[in-house]
Amino acid sequence: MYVLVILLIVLAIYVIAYTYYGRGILERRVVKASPDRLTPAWEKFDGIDYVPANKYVLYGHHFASIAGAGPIIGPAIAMVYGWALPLIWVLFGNIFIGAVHDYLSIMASVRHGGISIMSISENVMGRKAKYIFLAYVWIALILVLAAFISVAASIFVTVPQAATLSVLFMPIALLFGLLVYRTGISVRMATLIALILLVLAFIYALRTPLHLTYEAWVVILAVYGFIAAALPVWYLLQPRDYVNAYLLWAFVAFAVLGALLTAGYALTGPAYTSFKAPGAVIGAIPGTAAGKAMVAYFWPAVPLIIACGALSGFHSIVGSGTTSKQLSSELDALLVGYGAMLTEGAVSSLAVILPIALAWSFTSLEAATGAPISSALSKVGIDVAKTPTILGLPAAERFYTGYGIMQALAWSKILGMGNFETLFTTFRTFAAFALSAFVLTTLDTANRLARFAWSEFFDWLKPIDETAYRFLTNRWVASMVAIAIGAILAYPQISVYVPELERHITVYAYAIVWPAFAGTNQLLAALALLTSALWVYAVLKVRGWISLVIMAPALFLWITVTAALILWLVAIAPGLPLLYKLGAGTMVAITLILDILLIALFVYGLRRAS
Amino acid sequence: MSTRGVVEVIGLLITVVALLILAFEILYVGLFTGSIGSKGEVTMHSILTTIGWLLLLVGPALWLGGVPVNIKKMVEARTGRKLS
Amino acid sequence: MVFKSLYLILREFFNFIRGIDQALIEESVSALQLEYVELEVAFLTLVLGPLVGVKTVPTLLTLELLEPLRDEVRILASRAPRGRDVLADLMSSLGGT
Repeated sequence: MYVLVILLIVLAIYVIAYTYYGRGILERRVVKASPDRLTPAWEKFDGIDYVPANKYVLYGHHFASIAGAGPIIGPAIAMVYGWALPLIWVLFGNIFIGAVHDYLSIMASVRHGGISIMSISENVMGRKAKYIFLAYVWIALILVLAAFISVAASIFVTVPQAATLSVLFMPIALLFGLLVYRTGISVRMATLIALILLVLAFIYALRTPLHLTYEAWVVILAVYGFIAAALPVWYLLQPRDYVNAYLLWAFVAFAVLGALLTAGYALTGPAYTSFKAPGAVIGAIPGTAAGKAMVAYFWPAVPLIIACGALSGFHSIVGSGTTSKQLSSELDALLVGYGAMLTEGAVSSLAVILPIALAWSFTSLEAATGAPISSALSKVGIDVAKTPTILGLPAAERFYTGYGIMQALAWSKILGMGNFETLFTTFRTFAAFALSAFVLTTLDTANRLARFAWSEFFDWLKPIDETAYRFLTNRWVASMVAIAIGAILAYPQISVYVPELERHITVYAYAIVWPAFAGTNQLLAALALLTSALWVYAVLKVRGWISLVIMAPALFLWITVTAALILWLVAIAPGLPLLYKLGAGTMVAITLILDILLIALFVYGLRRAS
Repeated sequence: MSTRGVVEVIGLLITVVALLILAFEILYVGLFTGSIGSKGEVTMHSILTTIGWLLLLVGPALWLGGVPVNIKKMVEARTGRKLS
Repeated sequence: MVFKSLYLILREFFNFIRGIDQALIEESVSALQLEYVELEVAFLTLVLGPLVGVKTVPTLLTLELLEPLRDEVRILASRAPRGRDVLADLMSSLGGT
């Protein structure tokens, strides 16, 4: 199977899905989008919140808001099943569930005058739905904090050059902000200065690693998250996000170019290894009974692994936020909602699945291309004799090693095989840094949002006990609670001796927390999708086989995620260290209880509407 | 001195300290020894670098205050009064 | 005929790239906009409080300021029905998760 073939398949499937499923069925038959119906951007135009925007700009907004580190980690973990199953889920889960979920959330919000999906769920399912929503959002944010702190810390330990670059990156972004806002230099000039400094910093960082232990990084990143969430937005967040935009562009551009240049190579990875995987894949500790038991069946466990690549609950909130208030025409929603999610799936396939599948077996790839892969890998501490395949690496490392190898292969075609090792270390550091940059932006954003969701959730406390309410919803308390729980869950790094491999492997906290995060995120998506399905059925009064197009994925998603979380609670959670049993275990248990309440509300709403 | 003034001075001091630490670590230690800290350990150098990094985030915020100059100019232009 | 459709496709593609570029830049501004809106709402609540029975400033002052603040009052009124439903606005403006 050649890289080019996968590239063309992904492109073809997405284009066909967009045209025939998205436009033909969703837009025309389900939602019946019409250019004549005025969107809130026109109806409620006020020049500030409600302003019609160009559809490509909105698409870019939505895509930038949903793209991040999620679509990278999930598929990297899922590669244990071979590359075909994750690719199929990213393609078809996206087309029939994920992108549909994004599209319907935007359309429901547009038809409701621009209110968020949370308020819509309150409208169609009742007041309890709002609290379920807030609880899911808060839990998902805490778990994402824990997972991402752990991912960033693990990256900084394995690629200390990325740590140096991150330490240099923040002051550069800060300088950019200060130049623009305090000295009035033009944005163009300030951008140029910032980008030049960034390139210099990159060159410096490549030769100067910054070493710290994993635990030290967790603490430092937690403090960073807390500080960054407290600082004014214009000061750090905004300049940093602006510079990050160029990073995202570069990352995607290189991924596409890399895939095109290596189009002729054959993937060294197996398409299909097994439908079952050891419990370690969904968070159990490797080497324990739970870790070795082959309980992680691809279905239903896949939502616990691949989250944002195919489907993510956060997108429904993002889409029903400013996007729905700025939509110029109902017909634009297809590109913005459905299209952006398909693009994210495409990026996930090109930047994660494809490189890992290509660089799977280091020795066969070396034999096939003649590139000095083994020596390049040994320079970064990977012994090809002990880890012959990319599966031997932790998930985040699979990503930037695979990306590095693919880019090095691509560019050494032009610059000569002699430069392979330099190209490999450069692009490996670039990918690791990009991933850590996406993660660091999410850290303080998630903290701010968790702070808000926490305060919102406790509004029932206000009439009962004003002092308790004041204390709990104080912004410092709320912020500290969120980041503290996240940091504590991210702190452990467990070293396990695996007799089959005859060596120790390090299990980072994110491997354990990720399934809990992914599951909660998917439950949030199930909530949003069930809300949309109820809206389509009850408010739009769509009946017949068309309504099945929405109902079937919604119910399939709910059944899959519920089954997966029950599997996790029963097979994996008991074997986890006490910290995770209490921490992640309780959170998942709460989400499951709320989940039963959710389906009850849905069924009740359905009967009321019939 | 007003509270605002004290906070600004503290901010300035923190910024200067942070810049000195980072300059020392990055331009001297990093450039001449080729790495900051050593693998698998928590050394003084790496701790110092990260502390300098965190201080650099906080210092200028305290020193330069909350209002970006462009907004200040806009408000002064609109109202015709000088802001402190 | 072929050239015309090729030209149209290329033009759309460049609009697409330009749109995304603008979006990426605007994305960072959206977070600023959020804080600006927060500050504005806080200010207006302070100034217009007496109209809804919350004695924040002397009522006569509020009545005097009503005329110059006409636009802002209209925007405040359009935001009021959304009430506490700001989670989605927050999430989409802060960007990137």
